[in-house]
Amino acid sequence: MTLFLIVTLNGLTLAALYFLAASGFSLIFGLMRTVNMAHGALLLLGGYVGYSIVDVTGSWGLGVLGGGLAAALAGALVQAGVLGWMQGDELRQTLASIAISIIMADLMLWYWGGLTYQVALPEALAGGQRLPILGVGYANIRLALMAFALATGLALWFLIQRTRFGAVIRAGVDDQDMLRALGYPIGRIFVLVFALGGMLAGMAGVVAASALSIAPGTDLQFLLSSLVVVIVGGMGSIGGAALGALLVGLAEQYGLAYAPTYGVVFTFAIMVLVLAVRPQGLLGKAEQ
Amino acid sequence: MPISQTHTNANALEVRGIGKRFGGFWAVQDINLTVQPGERRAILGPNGAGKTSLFNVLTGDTPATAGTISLFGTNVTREPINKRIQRGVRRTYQHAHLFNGLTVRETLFLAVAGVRGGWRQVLPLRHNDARLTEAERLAEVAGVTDVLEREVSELSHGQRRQLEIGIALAEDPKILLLDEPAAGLSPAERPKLSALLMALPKDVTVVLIEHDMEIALQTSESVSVLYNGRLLAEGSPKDIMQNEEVHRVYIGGAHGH
Repeated sequence: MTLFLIVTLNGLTLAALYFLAASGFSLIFGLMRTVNMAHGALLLLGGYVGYSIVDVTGSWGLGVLGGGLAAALAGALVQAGVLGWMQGDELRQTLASIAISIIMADLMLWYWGGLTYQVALPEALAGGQRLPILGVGYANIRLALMAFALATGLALWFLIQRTRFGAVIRAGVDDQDMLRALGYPIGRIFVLVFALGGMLAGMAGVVAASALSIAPGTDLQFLLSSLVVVIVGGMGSIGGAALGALLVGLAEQYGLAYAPTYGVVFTFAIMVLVLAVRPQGLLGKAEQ
Repeated sequence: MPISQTHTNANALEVRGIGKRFGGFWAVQDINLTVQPGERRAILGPNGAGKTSLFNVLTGDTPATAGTISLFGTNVTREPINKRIQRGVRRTYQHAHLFNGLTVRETLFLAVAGVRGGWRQVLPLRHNDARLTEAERLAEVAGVTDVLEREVSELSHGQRRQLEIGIALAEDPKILLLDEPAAGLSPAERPKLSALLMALPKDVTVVLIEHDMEIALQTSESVSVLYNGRLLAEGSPKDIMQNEEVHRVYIGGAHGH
C-alpha cells in the first residue's frame, strides 16, 4: 500500500512537471500552429539561469522568476527574430526550431558545462513531512511542485478564459485571419504568446532543477514528454495538457514500479491508443 | 442618378486601374470604380468574375498587383489591413469567419477593441468598460442581443450573418464592404437581413457583393457588373436590368446558382 501511494505521488510529481513544460508548448501550437522544437532548450535555459541566480542570491523565488524571464526573453527573440519570418510555413518553422534547439544546447554546454545541477532548496522546501490520512512521508519540494503546477494551471485558465488578452488568444486559435481583419497586429501577439510559453518553460526548468536535477539532455527529455503529452491530451488545449500530463506521468511511474522491464512501453501504448481512436487528442478539437 | 451626383468632398472610394494577378492569371484587371460618400453600391457578376478578389485588394487582405486605391482622397494602396481599419474600412466575408469558441459578447468586444485598443489588458472581461457598452449597442443594431452570452458555434446561420454585420459596424465604419451577406440564408431569414442592411446609417458608404438580385436592387442605388475580371457595365439598377450584355452574361446565366 505504501509503495502504491508513493508511486502515485511520484507519478503526480512527474505529471506536474510535464504539465508545466507542455502547457507553454501547447499554447504556442494552439495559436500559431508552430511546433516549437526549441521548447526543451528554453526549459533547460530557464533551469540553468535559475540555478545561477539561486547560487548568487540564495533566493529560490528569485531563481524561478529569473529563469522564467530569461526563457521568456529567449522565446520572444526566437519568434521575433527567426520563426516569425516564416509564419504560415509550419514545416520550415519546425526545422528552424530544431536548429535553434541544437545551437542553444551547444551554447549552454559551453557556458554551464556538462555537469548535473541541482538548485539549492530554501529551508521551507527542504526535507519532507508525513502526510495526514495517507500516512506516508514525502519530500516538501515535490508537494510544492504539485501545488505550483496546480496554481499555474488555474492562472493560465483564468488568463485565457476570463481576460481580455485571453479572448484575443482564443480568437486567434479559432481564426487567425479574422483576428487580423479586425485590426489586431497578429505578429506582435505571436511574440507575446511565445514569451508566455517561454516563461512557463523556464519556470518549469527551475522547478525541475529543484525537485530533480538538470543536465545536458534534460532539454530533449522534456521536449519528448511535451510532445507525447500534447498528442495524448490534444494540441492547443490547457485542459488537454493537464490530462495528458496526468496520464503520461502516472503511466511512467506505475510502469517503472510494477513492470520495470516494460516501463517505457506504457507511455507509448497510451499514445498509440489515442492516435488510433481519437487522433486529435483526448480534449483536442478536430481540424475543420 | 447617384453616380453623377456632385459632391464637394473627396470620393469615399476611388479605384484606378486595379489588377490582381495570381501566377499567370489575372483575377481582376483594369478596374476603375468611384463610390461617393454615403452611396450604396452593389457589385454583381457570375461566379469567378473576380468580385471577392477585388474586395481582398480593397481591404488589404492581399496586395494589389497594379493600380491605386484611394479612400477619402488618401492613397492607401500600400497600407496594411490594420491601417485601413483605422481609416474606417470594414468587411464581411462570403463564408462567415467567426470565432466559434467565443461568446457573442466577447466577439463584439474584440471588434471594438481591435479599433479602439486595450486588448492587451490582462483584466477580466466583465468590468465597467465603455467598449463593452459599445459591444452591447452593436448587438442591438445587429439584432443579436438575445444571444449575447451564447457561444458563436451555437448560433443559427442567420444569426451568424447578423453578427458579422455587427462586427463590421464597430467604431464608426466609414465604408462597409459586404461579401454576399445573404449567402446561404433561408427565405425566411432574408427579409431580416435586408431590413438590417436598409437600416444602416445613411452616412456609411456600402459596397455590397450580392447574388440575390432582389436584395441587391432593394438596398443599392448603383450597380457595377464584373465579368471575367473586368468591369462590364455600371449604372442604376434599372439601367443594369435593361442592359442586354449584362442580361446575357449574368442575369441570363444566374438562374443556375
